Amino acid sequence: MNAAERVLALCDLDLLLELARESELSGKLGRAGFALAGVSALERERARVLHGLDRRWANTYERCLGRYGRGVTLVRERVCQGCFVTLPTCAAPPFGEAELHLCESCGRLLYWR
Amino acid sequence: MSIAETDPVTTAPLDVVELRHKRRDSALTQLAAAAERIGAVHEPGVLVAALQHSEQLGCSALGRGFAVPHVRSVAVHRPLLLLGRSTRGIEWGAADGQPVHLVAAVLTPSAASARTHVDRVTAVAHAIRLQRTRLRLLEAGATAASALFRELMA
Repeated sequence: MNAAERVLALCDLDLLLELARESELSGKLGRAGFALAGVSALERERARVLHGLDRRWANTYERCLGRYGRGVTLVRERVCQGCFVTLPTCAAPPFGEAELHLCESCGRLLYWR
Repeated sequence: MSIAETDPVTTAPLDVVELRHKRRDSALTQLAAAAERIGAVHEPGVLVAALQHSEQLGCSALGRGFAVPHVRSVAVHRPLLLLGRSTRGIEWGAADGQPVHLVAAVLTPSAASARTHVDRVTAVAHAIRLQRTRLRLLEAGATAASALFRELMA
C-alpha cells in the first residue's frame, strides 16, 4: 500500500468512525438492524494505518483533519475541492499517476485523481 | 466546508451483479470491480478496504439471506446502488448463520453528509425487508430486477 492509498484508507476509516460516534445516526442504523459494535477494533486499525504512513504525510493529515474536519481533499479538474481554487497545471502529477500534494492556497492535503 | 450533495437514493444509478463467489471478501471485491466498470469508483482497492472496515464496524448481513454493505468513501465519486445476487449463497457471517443470496450495496461519495448516507442505507434496507420482495428480486431477470428495485425505492 503506497502513501496515497494509506491516506485514502485513513480518511475512509475516519468517515466510518464519524458515523459510529454520531449517536443519532448510529441509533438510526441500529434500529434498521445494523449493529455498530466494532468501534474499538476500527480505532486500532486506524492507529495501525497511521503508524505505517510516512511521518510527513501523517502530520499533515492530522493537521488537516483537526483544522478542516477532513484529512484529505480531492482535486477534480485541477480544482481543490476544499477551497475551490484552480491549481496551476505544473502542480498536476504525470497522467495516470495519483499523488499527494498540498494546496498552494489553503494548505489542505490534496489527492489528485 | 462541503457544498456537494449526493443524489437521492431513488435517482442514483443502479446495476445488477451476479455474484460468483462464496466468500464475503471476494463478493465485495467483485462489487467494487463492477462499480469501477460503471465509472462510479476510481480506486477499487481502497473501496474494498473501506467495505471490509465497514463490515468490521458492524456486520451488514441483516439475517434471512440478505445484506446491505454500505460505505461513504473518498474512492467513490458518484453515488451508486449495486444489487448483487447469488444462487449458491455467500458466507457473510450473519447473526442467524444463513448464507446471503441478495446483496444491496450502497456507495456514497465522501462529499455527502453522514446523514444522507444513513438515509440511503436505511431506505434500501427498508425496501427489501420483506421476504416475498427479496424472492421477486432474486427470480427476476437483471433488467426486471433493476426496474423492480427502482419501484421499491420510489
